[in-house]
Amino acid sequence: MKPLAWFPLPFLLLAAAAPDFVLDLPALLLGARLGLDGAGRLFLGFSALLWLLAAHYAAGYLREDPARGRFMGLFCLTGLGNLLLPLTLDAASFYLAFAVMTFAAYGLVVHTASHEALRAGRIYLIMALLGEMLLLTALWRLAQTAPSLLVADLAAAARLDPAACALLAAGFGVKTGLPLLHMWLPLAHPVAPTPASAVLSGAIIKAGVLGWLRFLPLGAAALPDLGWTLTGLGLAAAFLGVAIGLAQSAAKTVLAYSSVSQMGLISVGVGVGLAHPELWPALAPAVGVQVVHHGLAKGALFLGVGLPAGRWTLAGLALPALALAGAPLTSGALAKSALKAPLPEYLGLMLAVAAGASTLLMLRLLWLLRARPRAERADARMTLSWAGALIAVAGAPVWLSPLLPELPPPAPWSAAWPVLAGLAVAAALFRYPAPIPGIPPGDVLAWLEPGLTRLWRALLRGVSWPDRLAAGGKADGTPRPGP
Amino acid sequence: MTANEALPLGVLASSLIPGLIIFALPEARVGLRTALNLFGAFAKLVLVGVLLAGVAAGEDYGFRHSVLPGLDLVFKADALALLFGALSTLLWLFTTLYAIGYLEGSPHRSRFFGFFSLCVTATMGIAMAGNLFTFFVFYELLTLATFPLVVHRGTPQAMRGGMVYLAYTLGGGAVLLTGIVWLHGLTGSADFAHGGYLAVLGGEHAMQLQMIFLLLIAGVGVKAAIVPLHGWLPQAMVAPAPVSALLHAVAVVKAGAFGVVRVVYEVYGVEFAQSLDLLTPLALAAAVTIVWGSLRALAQEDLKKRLAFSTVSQVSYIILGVALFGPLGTVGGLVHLVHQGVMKITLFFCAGNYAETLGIHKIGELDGAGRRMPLTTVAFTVAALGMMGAPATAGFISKWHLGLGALEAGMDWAVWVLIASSLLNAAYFLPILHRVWFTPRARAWPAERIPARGRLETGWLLLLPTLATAAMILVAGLLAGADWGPLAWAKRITVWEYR
Amino acid sequence: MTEAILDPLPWLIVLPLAWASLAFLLGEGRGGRLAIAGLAAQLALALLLAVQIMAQGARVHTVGGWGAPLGIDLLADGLAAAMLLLTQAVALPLAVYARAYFSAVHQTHFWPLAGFLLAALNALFLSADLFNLYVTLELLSLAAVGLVALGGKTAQAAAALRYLLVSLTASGAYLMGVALIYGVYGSVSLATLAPLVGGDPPLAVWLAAGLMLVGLLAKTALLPFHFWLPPAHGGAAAPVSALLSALVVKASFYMVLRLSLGVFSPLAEMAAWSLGLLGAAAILWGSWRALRAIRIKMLVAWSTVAQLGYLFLIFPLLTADGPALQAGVMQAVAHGLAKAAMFAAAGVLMLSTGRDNLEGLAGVANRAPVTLFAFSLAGITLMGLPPSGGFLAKWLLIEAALAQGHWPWVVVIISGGLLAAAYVFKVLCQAFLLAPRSAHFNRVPRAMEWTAFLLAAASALLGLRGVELLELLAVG
Repeated sequence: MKPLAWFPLPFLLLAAAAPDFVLDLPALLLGARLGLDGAGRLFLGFSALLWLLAAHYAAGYLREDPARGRFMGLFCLTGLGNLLLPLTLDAASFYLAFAVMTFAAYGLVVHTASHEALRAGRIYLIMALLGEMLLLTALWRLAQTAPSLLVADLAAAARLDPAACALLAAGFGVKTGLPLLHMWLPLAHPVAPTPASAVLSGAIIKAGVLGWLRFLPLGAAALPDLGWTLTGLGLAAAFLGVAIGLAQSAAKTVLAYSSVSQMGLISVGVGVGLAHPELWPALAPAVGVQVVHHGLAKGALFLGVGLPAGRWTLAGLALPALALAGAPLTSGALAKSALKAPLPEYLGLMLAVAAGASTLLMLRLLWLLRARPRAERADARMTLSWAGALIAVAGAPVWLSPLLPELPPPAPWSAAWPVLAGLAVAAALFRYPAPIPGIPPGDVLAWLEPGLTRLWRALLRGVSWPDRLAAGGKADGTPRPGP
Repeated sequence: MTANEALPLGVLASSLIPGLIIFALPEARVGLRTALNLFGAFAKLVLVGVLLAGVAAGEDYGFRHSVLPGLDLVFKADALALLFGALSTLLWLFTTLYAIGYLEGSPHRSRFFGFFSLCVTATMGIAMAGNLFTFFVFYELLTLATFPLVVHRGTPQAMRGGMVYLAYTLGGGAVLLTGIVWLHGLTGSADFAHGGYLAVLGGEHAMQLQMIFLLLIAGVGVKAAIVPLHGWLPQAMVAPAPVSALLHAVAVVKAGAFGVVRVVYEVYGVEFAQSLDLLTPLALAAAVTIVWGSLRALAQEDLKKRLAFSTVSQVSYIILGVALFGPLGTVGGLVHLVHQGVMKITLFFCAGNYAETLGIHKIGELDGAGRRMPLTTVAFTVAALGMMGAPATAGFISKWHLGLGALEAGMDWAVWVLIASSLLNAAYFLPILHRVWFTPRARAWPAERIPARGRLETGWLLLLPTLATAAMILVAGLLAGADWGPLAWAKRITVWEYR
Repeated sequence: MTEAILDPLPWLIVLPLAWASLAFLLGEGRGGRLAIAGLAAQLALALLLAVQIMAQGARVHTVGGWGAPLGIDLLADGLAAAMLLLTQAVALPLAVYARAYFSAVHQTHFWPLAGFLLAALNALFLSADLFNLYVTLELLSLAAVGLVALGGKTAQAAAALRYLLVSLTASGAYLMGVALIYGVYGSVSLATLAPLVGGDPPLAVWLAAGLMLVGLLAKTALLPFHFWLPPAHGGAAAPVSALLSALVVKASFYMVLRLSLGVFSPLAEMAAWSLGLLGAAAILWGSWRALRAIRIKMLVAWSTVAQLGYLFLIFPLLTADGPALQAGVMQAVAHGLAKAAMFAAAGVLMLSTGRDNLEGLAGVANRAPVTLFAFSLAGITLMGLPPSGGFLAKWLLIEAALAQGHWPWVVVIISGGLLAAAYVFKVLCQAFLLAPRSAHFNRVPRAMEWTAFLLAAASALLGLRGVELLELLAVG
């Protein structure tokens, strides 16, 4: 178990120290190409760091769990998939790494085997499968015209195939939590054991963004329809994620909705880039910074939520919370200003409003955590890991700013006013509390689920009629619950 | 007789002769019987290896014997024959090992292994048949050789299953015979040829040729379990596990699918078949089978039955690939011929392991089996993921090429069929995987027969073949790009068929 | 003269007569060894004859040097040689079988009767005129009736009596036909008659042909004259049933074929379709009854009724050198071997279980595997599955039918095969069932098991050597 927790270290070293390289393995899969490039290094670096911290955290978190062997096995498998993903430069191995990550993570979601976990796992799996199928269809289409299965060739083929681009956007959108494809997210992230939640929300959902960056013809072709749709969905996610998150009463669910909201900002960046290829060179690093910033901050938040409540914990949590809200001097402020710079004025304004909303959501989180009972003493490994995550969040502005050489140093005020506005609204709400409507986690799913379940049962009954016929109609063919 | 003529006969003899000797052996001669079985299996493996190397180097292997004027028994070990032949040989070896372990101490083993060897002989005959007549001879021999295996247990239930099996397969054989004789009347004696041999008849006989196609496909379609000719397959589940494995993976259904391949590519020729408008109906039939098989699998509570319906669905992937007009579809269909075999045999080995070790037959009894039998369950997981077409498994390679082929042929609807089938496969396999790994065991095993000894969760003869075939699934999926292996071989055949 | 002495033709008739007489002199139950030796020699002679005919073509042997019309001519062509070969090839293993069988079951005069039967058969195949055909047919029938009556039980006696009546009536009808022909043309020699019978003969010839045909059909037990066959064949001792079903009914078929190809070929067309339709009906009805049978031997006997139907399917399809004739002979040979094997196997099964109904067979698959295998192999021939001779016969028949566009024939042939599969597998399934605890199995001599197997294997592998048989047949 001990050595297992160190598995992300080689990846971290690779990201930190290895030069860019390309390695062709024609016998592997359908002709594999592995390699390290700029985007890959960025994703690999923060993911490996997060996995390393989470793995050690997990070793402490699950020290008394009888099924920890199974958990750690699947945890490592998920991590391997996630960390290999940035290194893959051809479609088959990318798809493989993506699938390994996705399906192994199911085991993390259902680990506790509680009723909620099983339901979340089921929905996670269904959505993930749908996503995989969308991706597969897109890849099939692109491979028709592409000369090879290399990512670069497929992306070039995608310029002429808007339908495939839409499939790609939706397929990876399941992972990034685009509205209506997000339903699994607020269910699955909270039920998993805390270290798993951290990587799910911090690293794994970013894999979808990597998919977009790799396969969509960003900066090479103008796809206004798709681009603006994505932008619209991103904005909706940014605001609705906060709105629904505020209505949640579980801390981890709040965090999950915050992820939906934050990923919405990334969708906005990618969407605008699709519609206006000329803006992409400026947007690309901004999206990268937002990815890393949110990954580290959300990771730190989840890891902190898993620790026993207390003053120090709350104080520690305030740092990544502020970062997420985009407070000055944090990585959040850097990311937001980078994202805002190339965008049209009105979009920039909306991002600022979203930042204010995030502030509100973070306050809600801290408010919920305040009342938590004291649990048993934390394991040292957990605390140390969390401390590591906090250091990473604090240091993020320093090591992220070289990515944005052209960005003027952010005006403190432009970062501060949304936060202050958020605080003001919070104070007002505290003074004049408004009734919070109860929205179940998974929001629209609550309406869809009964109908879909009934449909599924009807299908099962339907297809078992030959068996009932053979059994003389006495077996009543009780349907199983859906997968 | 030259060496090139003798080799194909040697391949047949390597299982026929041990089989005949085994029939005559008394029940108690376990050692000699096992030795004969393994000798035959290894000898065949070596012979097929020689053939493979030879064919890759451009050699021709064949043998011809006249039974009537103008009617020849022809054996031809070409690349297509060896694709199927090598699969059968390899899996026969594993199934033999498995069967030795599975039937340890049970009665009538001489009879069982005798027919088992005959069954493989028939399969190899089907693989190497050089014309429709020879194909038919071995196709019927296969029916006869498998019947005693299906009814091996001798219970009334087994008999019922056996009778249903016979009714379907003999009926199919009769239809096939009609088609073959009719065609023989039109063309005279003709061997399978790359690109088919009917194109010379031209459009003049179009109507007749369409009718004959229907007869031929209906005939082989029974064994290939094309809906609505699939009714025998779930019934034949009464057979012992190694038999089910063989039936589903190598022998019977594969013989049917292989027949479709031969008929479309080497009798009609894929281009001529397309010009007669035969491929689209075939693809539709395959599509219906794929979806219906998957849906029916969903409804099954018995593990082997679920696997059986899964076979119905999966075998039609091969037929779909054949019916997609274009090289990529062909590659997908041909490679799935091998891949489905390896994956399905693993699943049946696992089902046999659960049944034999713990007495588990129903899916509901599998709760927590992963903890008790981790190795078997890992193998099951790999194979089930393969069936869903998850990457890194052999199934993905098949599905990938089939999807490409569907788009290439302009049959976009076939992509939806593949997608739907993948989702349905997930819907009936993933709950099982969830059960074995994540649901804790709630009650005692139905009938624990083989106690765990240390790391060995069941008999090693049951475990070894299971793990070996599971490893093959991964190797075929991970090293698909290698210059050897099923994918490379299927591509080589495809080049010939479209030349 | 030395050539004449070495000529196998007369020896094929003399040898069985000789061992039959000796066996008669030796007394009850003796002579088996003698018969086996004689049959081995006969088989060698038949082979020799076949080789000679292949090399030199058909030929005529004049007995004692007296030529036709006064003396007796023996005619050996490809068809005759094939039937002779079949006869000896079936009879030899059956003799070995019978020797073992009758060591277990009491018998009186099997060997002499069998010898006479074989002599009559061989003579019949070699006859070159209508009257000789009559005489040999009559002898054959009498020997056969005697064999049926052998057991001496009431049921067997009744069956034998019925058989005798049918036989005598049929022979009478045939004889009247011969007399009419002789009255019109003044000859009974086939060779002389052939050019005389034209396309529009006098009424008497029509009548004669009709009478002869009906007589022969009754002896071949073609539907609707089949009623005597199941009790006679089903009731007799196993070796007897085998001989009767495999060979004796083929004799009258042989005559129908020979006459319709030769002397009566101008008239044959008239009857061809009726024969074909009766054949088709026989296939379906016989198979159906076999499927419904509850006694093993009745099942096999009804199967004979069905299989004989195939022989008559060829008549509407007959052309000069088309596949139909080949199909007919192939079917006759394949069925001969297979049915002998099947009756032999049924005999073993009955001795082994001590019961004669299908139910008693449960568990026999483990007790008498060789026999069951033999039964299955014979069944394969009857079903017409490869690589058996029955398969080649069916293949040729379907090909002939399709070439002439007779689709219904194909349907009949195929359904006949499927029905055969149904009744054969009915037996096999029963045999594969687990034996009840109370079941008791007798030991059966190995010679019986293996001779049945040999015959069955020969029928099943005949398909691989079809070329030689058809080459022999082509010698006109």
